[in-house]
Amino acid sequence: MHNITLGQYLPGDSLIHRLDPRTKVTLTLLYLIALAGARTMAAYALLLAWPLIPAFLAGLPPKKMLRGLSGFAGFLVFMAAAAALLTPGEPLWQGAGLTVSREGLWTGLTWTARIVLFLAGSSILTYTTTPIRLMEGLAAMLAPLRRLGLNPGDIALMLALALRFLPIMTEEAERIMQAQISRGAPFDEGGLLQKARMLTALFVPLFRRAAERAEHLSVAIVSRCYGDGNRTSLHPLRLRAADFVFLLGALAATAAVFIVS
Amino acid sequence: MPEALLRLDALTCAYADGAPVLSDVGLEIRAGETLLIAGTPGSGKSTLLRHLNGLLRPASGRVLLRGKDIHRDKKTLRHARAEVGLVFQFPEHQLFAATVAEDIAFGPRWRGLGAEETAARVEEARIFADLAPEILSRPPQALSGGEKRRAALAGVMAAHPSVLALDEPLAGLDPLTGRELMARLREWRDGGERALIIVTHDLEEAARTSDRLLVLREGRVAALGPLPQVLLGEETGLPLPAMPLLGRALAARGIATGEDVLSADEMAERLLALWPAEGKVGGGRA
Repeated sequence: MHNITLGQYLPGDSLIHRLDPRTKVTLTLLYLIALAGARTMAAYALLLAWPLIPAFLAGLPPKKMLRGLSGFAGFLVFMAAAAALLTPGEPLWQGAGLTVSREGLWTGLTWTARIVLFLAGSSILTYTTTPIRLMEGLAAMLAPLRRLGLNPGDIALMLALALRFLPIMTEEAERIMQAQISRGAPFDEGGLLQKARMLTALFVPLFRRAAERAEHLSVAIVSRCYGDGNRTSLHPLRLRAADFVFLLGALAATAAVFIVS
Repeated sequence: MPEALLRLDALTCAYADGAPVLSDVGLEIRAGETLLIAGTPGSGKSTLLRHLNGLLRPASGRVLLRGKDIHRDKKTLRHARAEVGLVFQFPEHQLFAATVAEDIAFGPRWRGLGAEETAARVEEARIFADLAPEILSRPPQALSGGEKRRAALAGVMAAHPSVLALDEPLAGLDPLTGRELMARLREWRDGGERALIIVTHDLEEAARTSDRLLVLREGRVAALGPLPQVLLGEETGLPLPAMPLLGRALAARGIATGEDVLSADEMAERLLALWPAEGKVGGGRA
């Protein structure tokens, strides 16, 4: 559980940390578009190399990034196996009443690759951007929604908080598990039924605590004058030369992925 | 000499990056004893407690409960978690159920006890922790700080442990409640083959209940021994409780009460003993 690092911020003063948050959100969106358009091995190779550049420049610890991905390993294996077994197509292997098709295997592998790359790519955004800067960036990008009567600040805050709640909730789950284990709950024992019981025992209090935290958070935000006027920024957003270099680079990389697909 | 209830053999623990948290910690806790653990923040006190009932597995070394390594197999570990009750530093981290009653019943239920026995244990633990009956139906988050702390203690006591390890049990309690709690814990300890391990900054209150003091410094045992000797005899880096400080101040003025006095009652006794015999305090009893 503690392996899930998506949503965490890792303090730093690298070029990537200093990029405008709008640039980083746009880079992430371009990466997701490229990911959705990838069809060939060459495209996936390009998508694998892409996040390595900002990760290296930001000085992100590779071990931590890999550990962050390992938290999703069980889900990824399950998804790949389900796709391989359930997608109809040319049989590749048969046994024990199960059939793995060529199409299923490709589907499973590509979806696994997409999710791994999505997690790796999008985590660079949260690793290098503070919640406040992320919120400011999103609010600026969503500003046109004001014409529709929506408040972009509210939407941005909701999105930023949802992201930040991920590591908080994994920590909370870890705490509940520790409290339950110390009082005899056998998390690492028993069959499927036992594990299902344990998960229920974990998730019910976890959701309750999430609701409590959300309530405390809303009180904390309101008590600090949220929504009482037009919000100004301590550090106004400003695009610099480096932002344009990265945006042009990302556009070129997206085009390259579509060309090789 | 009777076998130690709990023994740590060269216990070592490190963070994922290899930085040591505990290094070569060894100690024995016997039935009827109270061990006080003190040290500066970050010295490894809470981490040490989490090893005692197997929440953490040592990088090297062993934790032995009645001579058996608690990590020998799953059955032994399960048994250790029942035998060594752990009360966390922050009660809100320990309380997770919808109501206080359900929270207290969590341990007995997972140990397969029937409804009647579980209900009896909930009631027994409630009385021990001095919780009002109506609190049982309340959600833990609706309790006050002191009530939460006592509810967390009740949840651990319902498992009938032999060793009770408490992380800062007096934090957030008013002095009177803290004194009552310590008296109750002392009574519990003396009611069978039991031992208490207390991590605290409140040496003043906890010292009355404790026999030995373990001082941790940067994850190592800096001092371990009878409480007055360790507290007063070595440079532990811990703030001295008020009575030994008073003893020192009186000694500097020629009134030898001794610095090993830890309680106000004992200090009063020593002063009264000096009063008529040597006439060092005022001109006699008023």
